[in-house]
Amino acid sequence: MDNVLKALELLWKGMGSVLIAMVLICIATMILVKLTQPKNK
Amino acid sequence: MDFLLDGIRALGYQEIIMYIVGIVLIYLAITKKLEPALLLPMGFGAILVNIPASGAITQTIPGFGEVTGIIDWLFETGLEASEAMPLLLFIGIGAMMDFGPILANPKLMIFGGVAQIGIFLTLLLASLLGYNIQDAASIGIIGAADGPTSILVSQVLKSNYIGPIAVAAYSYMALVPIIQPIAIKLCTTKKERQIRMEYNPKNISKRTRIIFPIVVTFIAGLIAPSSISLVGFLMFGNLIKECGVLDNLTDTASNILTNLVTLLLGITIASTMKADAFVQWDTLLIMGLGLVAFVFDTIGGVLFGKLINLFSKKKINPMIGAAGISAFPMSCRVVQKLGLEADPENHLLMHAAGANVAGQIASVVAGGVILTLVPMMM
Repeated sequence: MDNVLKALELLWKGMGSVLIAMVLICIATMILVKLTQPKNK
Repeated sequence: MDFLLDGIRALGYQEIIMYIVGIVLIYLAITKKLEPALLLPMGFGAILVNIPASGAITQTIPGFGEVTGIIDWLFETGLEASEAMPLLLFIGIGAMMDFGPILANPKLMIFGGVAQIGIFLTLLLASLLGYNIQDAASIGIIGAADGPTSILVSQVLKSNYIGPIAVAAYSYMALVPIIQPIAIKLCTTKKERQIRMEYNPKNISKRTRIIFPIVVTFIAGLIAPSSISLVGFLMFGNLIKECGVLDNLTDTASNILTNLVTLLLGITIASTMKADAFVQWDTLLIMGLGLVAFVFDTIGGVLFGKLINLFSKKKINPMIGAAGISAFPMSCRVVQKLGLEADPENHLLMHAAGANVAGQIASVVAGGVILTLVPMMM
């Protein structure tokens, strides 16, 4: 039972952390692309 | 001369099963071309380590004491002591990767994150089946669809099942073109598979490509410090490629280094395929759980695509979500093929490739997150 509770905690925290990391990378990438792409004239 | 028969006398049913496993892996590698670079060395290694009193593994010889075998030495040095082999492989993978599709459409990054759900659901399932948290997490990581990450995580967590996990991870990666279409068709209608997506090609500047791996390393490292070796080496390889001034190193990393490490990694993993540890019901159970992990990844990604369509005016093809796993380029090709099957004019490759590349980043992040969280719970 203890292991199952730990697994549930891992599901919640782990999946949450992965999603937060990917959202942050997504936002950072969007800003990066905006800042570094040459302007179309 | 009686000693000549010692080897034959020492053969048991477990060793014979391992020879069959080894030959099947070699057969799949050569005939079916399933991840041959890994499955062939693993198959041959499985035979090498299971020859009675094999000199390839460490043996205690009366009068001499312990004599170290080369495969056990490779395992202890290259995996157990430093995890060097999978990490070095990441440099090569990074040097081969093109982040262009995800830089052209960064929003696809989310699909990579969502498709990691299979890791955590399988972890939960494995713990329900009675595995301790380290083994459950190591089994779940098969769902990363990323062989080196699976090996590294299961090794760091000292799992008892590194051999079966490595075999499952590499076998299912190779079987993505068979597993994913079934799972995708189970949870989509033909109408959904026909949804077309507009593609606006973008030229990505060199500066963007150079800064991207550095930014990802910072973010992943600050969120999950344990992921820094995984993500960092992957991004280091990519930076070497994108900087444009290290062509020789890029060539070495993507060819010589990758080939050399792959060659040794396969045969090194065989150290964990000794009959007494491998021939048990757990191995079959782990193979089954690995398959479940890939199916959960696929269904999770597709359902997320459907969820977005509930709120978005611009519909996306939910199959793109299934491409958010790390198995590149197999997964994006599956989505492209299913899209064309449903509508011969429906080209989804570039969108699917973006999600697929995101899956490669997300899988190493997920591996790092597990390495951060599991020790906290022990």
